[in-house]
Amino acid sequence: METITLEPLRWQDDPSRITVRADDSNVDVYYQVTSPKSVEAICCGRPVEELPRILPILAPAHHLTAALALDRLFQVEPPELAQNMRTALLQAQYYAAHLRKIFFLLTSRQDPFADFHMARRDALPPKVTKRVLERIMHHAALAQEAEDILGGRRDHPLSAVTGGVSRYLKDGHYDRLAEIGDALLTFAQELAELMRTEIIADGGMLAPWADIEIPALPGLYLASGDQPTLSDPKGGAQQLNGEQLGDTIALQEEKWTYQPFAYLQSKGWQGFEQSQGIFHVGPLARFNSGQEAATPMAEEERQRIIECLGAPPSFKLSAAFGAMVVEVVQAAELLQIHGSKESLTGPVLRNIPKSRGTSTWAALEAPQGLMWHQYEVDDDGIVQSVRIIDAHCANNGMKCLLAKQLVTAAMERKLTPAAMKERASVALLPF
Amino acid sequence: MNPKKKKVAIVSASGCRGCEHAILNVHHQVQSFSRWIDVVYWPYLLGSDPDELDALESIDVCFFAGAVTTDAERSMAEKLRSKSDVMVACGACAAFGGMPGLANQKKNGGAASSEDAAAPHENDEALLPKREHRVSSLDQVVAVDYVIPGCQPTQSLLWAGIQALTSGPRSQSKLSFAAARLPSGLAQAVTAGTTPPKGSYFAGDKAVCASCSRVKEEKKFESAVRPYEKYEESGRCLLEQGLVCLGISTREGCGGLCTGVGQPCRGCFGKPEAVYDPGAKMVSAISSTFASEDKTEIENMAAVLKDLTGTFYRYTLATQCALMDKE
Repeated sequence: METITLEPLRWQDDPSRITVRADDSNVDVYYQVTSPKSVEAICCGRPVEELPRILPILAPAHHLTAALALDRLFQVEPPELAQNMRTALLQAQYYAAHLRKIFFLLTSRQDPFADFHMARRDALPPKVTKRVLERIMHHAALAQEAEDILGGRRDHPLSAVTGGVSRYLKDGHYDRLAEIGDALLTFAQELAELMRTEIIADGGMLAPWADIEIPALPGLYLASGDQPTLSDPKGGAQQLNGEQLGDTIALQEEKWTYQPFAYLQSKGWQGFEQSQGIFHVGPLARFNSGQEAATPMAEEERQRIIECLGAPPSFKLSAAFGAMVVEVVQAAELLQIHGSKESLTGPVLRNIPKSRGTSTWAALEAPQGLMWHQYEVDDDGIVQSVRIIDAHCANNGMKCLLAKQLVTAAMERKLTPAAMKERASVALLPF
Repeated sequence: MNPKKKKVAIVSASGCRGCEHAILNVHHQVQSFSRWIDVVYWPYLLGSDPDELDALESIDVCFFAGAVTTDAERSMAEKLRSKSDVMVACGACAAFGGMPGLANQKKNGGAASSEDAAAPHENDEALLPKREHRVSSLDQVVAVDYVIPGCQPTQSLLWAGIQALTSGPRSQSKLSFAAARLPSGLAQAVTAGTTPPKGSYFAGDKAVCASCSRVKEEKKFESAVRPYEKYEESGRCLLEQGLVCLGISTREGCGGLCTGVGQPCRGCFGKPEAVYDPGAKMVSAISSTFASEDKTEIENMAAVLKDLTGTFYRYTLATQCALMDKE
């Protein structure tokens, strides 16, 4: 039995690796998350109002999902100002998160710290210059500045509270947000053009990975912003009950990874390779749903991507990055709308609740994919149980399938472990 | 590799990648690092594998983020320590155990069973790193030379730390913006371009209250409230409003980031040097700020205060709670 370990996989949120165990007749491939996250142990016993400040250790958008769950638990509706501030924050998160992944893709075949003139220039398309890479990071930084303004902090925001937000913005913030919004939209369009022509198009930077087929699995997304929906890649879509999503989706633990696998309860679990219940979430799932973008320029961009790649569903790597490009444009437009001075001013920034329930849930379409929270609390509002479904567990089964497929193909082509690792890292980057 | 440049490793154990993203975002241009450092090992960004670490003879500075939760993370920390001249705990998880350390309240560090915590997941499939019985900070595993606290560390302090420890006397930056928030000895070292004394925190030495913009009226509060129960636009001290705010038991350096957003401090910079135990300090602070001397009123107030362990030691349970077993 030969064992190959591809470790670590670059750019994965969770420390992860692929372990391959092969003999003459069989190849077993394991996509392993190698570090535990004891979310239940961290959250249980805490006052429930603290969860929006704790759960961003999973991803920044968990802050907003937890705040939505608190609104429901305390039966309180945030004022319009607060809803706008939260939406604007979410869009800034989209922009920054997607730009970071695009930066990772563009520097995937070189050392981003190398002196650029000494680095492998042939690793980048001609139009992707050092200036372009710097502009991507500069605009990611602008989006993060918007996160700081709107959320108080970037990766661990804190402004969303039960029934609203925790403070008004200052006068200077409105002007700065307007400047940032304009800059982000202008750059989003510039980036979209570059991505379409130099990266996604036939013969573009993604060409070496054009043969990678992402498993054609159902995609889970929020239709019309709040309706959990499961799209079938063969056509059709099924609406799911948001409150009971925890009954629809189960989590399977396996001893060889610290990350559980989300799967559809109705299909059962027969091992991640045979299971019919595996699905995925994220930009590709949203793109493949065929929904129109929420804003005009983003919809135009979506149409251009469709012209380039064909109608969805598509399970190519180029579609996954194309979906991100559409969402970058959309995020910039929505940030302009919800981050304007008019949207972020009003007489009330939060409503004080008068009652509290004992269980709650919330779903949010986050940059990494749909996230769903459910909490049970006791009479003192102390958390008794937490259930969370997010991209980490929802895409885990798909990552395993993709890893198996990549390794099998790479072994047939007799690629070195280093080459296998590079292909796997890029293929798994969008998820 | 330029021999004049410092060799730097950046690694993360169990955490959220927030510290690594903060480093990535420093001055928004990762390539600017290449002017004075060679990043020789960064698994997250460069895909550096364990063999590359073995092959490295030495590392000048290692920035280590995240808490230690598995045997693999422990041995990585030990290996990095043995090869690194300078070891930096970067962020609250590496410095104090961070929020993952809250799992230490549960038996076996939050593992489903003692068997899960203790035994390697060895079967006929693939071996997973063994989960440890408790979550540890970096300095509970190896000696740490410097600490850049915060969840995640602020850009200015992170930038000060990186420049001070990697550029040395060749630094062209004078860092006055960051030095303003550092204790004077450290600020002088940073601005002079000399290496700061070992054991330094790239943060202030007083409490957050010293730099919090909120108005302290020295008024006592009459009842404790939970954050969802009250909103006051006055800009008054949150503790004096009856909200549990850890500013008084937390090292400054953030400039009152959370209190500036209207949210109570939760202590991500750890305790200041002068405080022995942040929880004990908070008990003292609340006792002296609560107005009533009536037994029933005191009992009612105490009943509102929930989850004192998880609140007072949100980021520091693994290291700074005097009553907690640290073995």
